[in-house]
Amino acid sequence: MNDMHERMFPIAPFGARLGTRLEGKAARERLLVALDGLPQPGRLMVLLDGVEVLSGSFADEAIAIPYSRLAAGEYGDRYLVLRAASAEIADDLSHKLDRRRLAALCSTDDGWRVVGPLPAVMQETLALVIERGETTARELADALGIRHNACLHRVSRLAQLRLIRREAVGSVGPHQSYRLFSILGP
Amino acid sequence: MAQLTVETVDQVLDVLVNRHASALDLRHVTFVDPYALLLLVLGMRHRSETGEHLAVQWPQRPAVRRWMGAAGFFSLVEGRASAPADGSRRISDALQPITAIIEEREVSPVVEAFDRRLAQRYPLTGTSRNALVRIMIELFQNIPQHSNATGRIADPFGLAIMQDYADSIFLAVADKGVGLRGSLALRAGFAGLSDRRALDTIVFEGISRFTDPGRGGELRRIARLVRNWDGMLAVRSGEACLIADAERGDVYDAPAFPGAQIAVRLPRQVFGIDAPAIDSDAFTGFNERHA
Repeated sequence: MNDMHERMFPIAPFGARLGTRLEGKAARERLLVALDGLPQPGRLMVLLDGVEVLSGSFADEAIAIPYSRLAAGEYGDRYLVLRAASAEIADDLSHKLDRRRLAALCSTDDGWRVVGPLPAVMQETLALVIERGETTARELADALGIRHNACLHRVSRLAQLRLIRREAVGSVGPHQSYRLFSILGP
Repeated sequence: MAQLTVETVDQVLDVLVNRHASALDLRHVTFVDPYALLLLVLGMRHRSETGEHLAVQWPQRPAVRRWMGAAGFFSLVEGRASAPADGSRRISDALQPITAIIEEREVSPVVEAFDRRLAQRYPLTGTSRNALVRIMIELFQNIPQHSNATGRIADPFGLAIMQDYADSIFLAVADKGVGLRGSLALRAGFAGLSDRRALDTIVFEGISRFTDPGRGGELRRIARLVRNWDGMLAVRSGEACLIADAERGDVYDAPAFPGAQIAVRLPRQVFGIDAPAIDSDAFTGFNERHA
């Protein structure tokens, strides 16, 4: 079961037009406290509704740096998901994530979008995980028509980027076996 | 020269700073753009700091003197050269006067003030205002972030100004701090670059003095935006000046001057401005609040 705890972290209280690195650092401190206090497995929804400008500098400090720490494994089984009416607001964040070789998932009014760089084949795999909600690498490999090892490589990278949740469930031969979960809410 | 602009102001700067001239004749100047005005302020401040006497003959054309006054020029150079009697401020002549940028915490209020002034004069859409706000945030915060990166500059004297024209909005930001080369030299492996190479490295390669990969790249993004919008970007630092628009992007030799000076000119149609300006008392209000 993919029962994730969920909490909200609105960015709008920091201002509608954001902003400098100094302001971003202040927001990041609050965000990391919220992330740290989130029960595992947990999803912190970073709400961008009400934000008119998200500068690259603010976005880097407040969002991209927490993503890099998340990807480094500092926060255990916790995830960040952006929420905005349209992912356009996160254009400058996309540039910063690109520089850090990271990507984020943004839930939008018409579905979801990846913010930051993610190759098309990875997006295809991610879309399938999100569509199924819960799956395995074997099932994904069959659905995508690719070798199991290739699929393992893809899901490993998606999990490292914290775009999907991966839970070890044993081992099959030399490989660790995982169940894979979408980090988007229902 | 008849006009002091991005393309011509370096001639004046050369006379002011490098040739140590005792007199500056601006009588026949018929136009001064915001970037040139900031360089004039910094050049005269530089002269005053060296203690060299300078006699200035101001532009004869009243409209030019009036705009310079409305932009706050004469009050900034007061004591360094006497302002002409009719150089007084008139609200309708300046969109946003010269504003000091000192600390990072002041950047957002200054950006808000610039944006408010633009919105009060023009019925802009939120999208078009926000595009300019993003540029202002990044350019303005570069002053506290980089102009005194070495910690050895007593006062980088960061300034910003915005002016509207019939066809464009013009934003200029300037300081006399360590410059692009001085900032980049703090990063291992980037010391000893020429001004031209430092400018290339920062603007075209998106590298900053910080090793953190999230830092830097903002001038490169602004350069791309300006090119896509058919605007003009000038970045001057030390002995190098980049002037880039949709057609070109060339770095020229410039007379040595400390700090970094940047101009962004964007066509008004980018902001959907086709209505005439709406004047108000916003200009006066801003200066009272920031007196």
